[in-house]
Amino acid sequence: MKSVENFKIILLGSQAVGKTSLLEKYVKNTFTIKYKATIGVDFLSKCIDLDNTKYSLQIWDTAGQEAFQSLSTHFYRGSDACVIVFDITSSKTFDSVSNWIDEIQFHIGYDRKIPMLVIGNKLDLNEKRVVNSQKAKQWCEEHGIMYYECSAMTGQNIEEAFINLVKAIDVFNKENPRQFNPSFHLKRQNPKKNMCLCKN
Amino acid sequence: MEELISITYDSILIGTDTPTSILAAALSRDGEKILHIDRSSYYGSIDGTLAFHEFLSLASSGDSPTFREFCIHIMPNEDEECMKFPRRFNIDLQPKFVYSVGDVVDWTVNCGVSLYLEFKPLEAGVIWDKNGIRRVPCNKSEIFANEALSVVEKRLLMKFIEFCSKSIEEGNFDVNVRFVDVMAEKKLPQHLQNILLYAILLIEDTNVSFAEALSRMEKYVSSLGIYKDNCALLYPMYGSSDIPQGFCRMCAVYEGTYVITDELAIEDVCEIDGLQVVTSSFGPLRGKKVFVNSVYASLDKQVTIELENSSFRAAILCRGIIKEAEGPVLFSIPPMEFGNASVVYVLQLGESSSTVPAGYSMLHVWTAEGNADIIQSFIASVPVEIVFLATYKHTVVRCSGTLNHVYNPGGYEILKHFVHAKELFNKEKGNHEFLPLRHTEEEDVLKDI
Repeated sequence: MKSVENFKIILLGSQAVGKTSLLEKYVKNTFTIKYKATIGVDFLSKCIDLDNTKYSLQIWDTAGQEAFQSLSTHFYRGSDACVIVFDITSSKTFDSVSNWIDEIQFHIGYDRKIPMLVIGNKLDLNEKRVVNSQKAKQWCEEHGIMYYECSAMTGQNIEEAFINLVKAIDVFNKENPRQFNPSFHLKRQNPKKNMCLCKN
Repeated sequence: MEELISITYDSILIGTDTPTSILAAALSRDGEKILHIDRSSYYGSIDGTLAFHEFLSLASSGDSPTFREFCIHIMPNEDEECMKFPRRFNIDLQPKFVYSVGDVVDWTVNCGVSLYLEFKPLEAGVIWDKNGIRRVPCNKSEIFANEALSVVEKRLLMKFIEFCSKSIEEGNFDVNVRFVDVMAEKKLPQHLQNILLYAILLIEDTNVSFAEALSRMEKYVSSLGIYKDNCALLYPMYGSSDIPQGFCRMCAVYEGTYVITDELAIEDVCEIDGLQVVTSSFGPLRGKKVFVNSVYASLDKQVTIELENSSFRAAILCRGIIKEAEGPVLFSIPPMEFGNASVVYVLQLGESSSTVPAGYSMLHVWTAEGNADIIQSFIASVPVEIVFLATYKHTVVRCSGTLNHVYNPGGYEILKHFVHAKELFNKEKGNHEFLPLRHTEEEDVLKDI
């Protein structure tokens, strides 16, 4: 029997860099060219099989709460990894990557580590590129972060980036085993009939 | 920024406490364009779960009308972990629980917020008195198995529970009679009364009616054993402010805009051309309606503030834990045990709730009135070392005036927060459904996991 690993992955980055587009391309293989600030997108789940293990990824979008730096601590809870997205045609969005990393560390605690992946998006607009690929890659290497350039429009490299992230989470979790700490999501309960106080 | 000041919002909500956040989610689910703001570095407002340094800064600022008279009794050493890693130590301003069955669960599951929240079963029914700490029997079989109770006591207790059960079924009881008087009439000894009142039904007010006690009993029994044997209550992982944060996220998913930052100054609300205009450091914000929580009550120039009740609270960081347990534990200290005039509740949160690191526990204490001496005297009876002790006064206020004021009932029971949010929702929306069913493809995916 295959084992199942559940990972929560959070998606971050400045507005309009294509977080939701990447997510939808990766999970649903759909892409819309028209930009719409994130609404209605909550999180999407995707199951992948790797080396005889089934991985269930729950990838959380920001729900637009990043717009005024108002992401709640709640968003970062229990995340296994984070993906920071920037737009290769906007240097401002690359500059803010380090702010996002700071923000993540602030919420999860500066002493805690978590696997991170930086994605330079909009590779399909390579001719308009302003962020130097080598420079970005080197910056990420220096910070111990994985780096990929992708296109949410064509889907280029997305699959590969996520697969390698999952592998990195796996390695990280083996090196930093977490205590099993079961918790519950609320479930709807059917009302009991003929309730008697002396049950049990 | 331009977006903020160019849009006319259907509702602007100020403050992110639990009822205001539930209302924000309910209104946005009903199709309203919402702006939800708070001049704060954290979500939750007076229902916040604060990191250690945030708590210290709230205590020293002294500008919260809800929480006052902070006394920091023992300052940690310089090398203490809570100073070095303040984010690892989280303090609920007012801890909250959820009964495993009931309207709160139904609304939360229905609207999808349950996907954002995780809970731990809360072990309640633990009495802490001069004789030590012990679990009380929570159901029929435990009553029979209990070695601390005599045969006579067991019979009295069972007879009383059967009497309550019958009263519920038949509904023929005097609604005005006090629960304590009924227990006395049925000759329940004081320590059994304490168990029922304080450890099982979690009633603080001894004047509570028999009818109210019966409805709590029903809620307790139907919630028992749903997630864990002998547990009826659930505590939110990571702290109580995850509940308002979950509803804020739901509001954001449905187009709500969030500005939660201490850089935001909210100066004034006035009516211009039929719109409410909130003057802020981010510019004028326009809404058809404005809702404010008690922190922002003074934005209403004609506000009247009624003090409803106040209680004594404490947050105690300890090295070590009082009672080994898988999850959070709620202790009930009956009146007079340690010089306390009324029941004292102590919630022990350990590593499992992800609010403190291993080796520590955070104790949240609340009681009608109390003082640091009482706390010192009951803590002295257990082998833990206090690292940090803060006491403060919590006041529940009811505000009214020309703006829409969101009332926060305070206390551990979250149902009242939903009920008030629903009242405000129905006032605006008539019979529209409050927090309607949200069906997402995620639900199906999650089922498979």
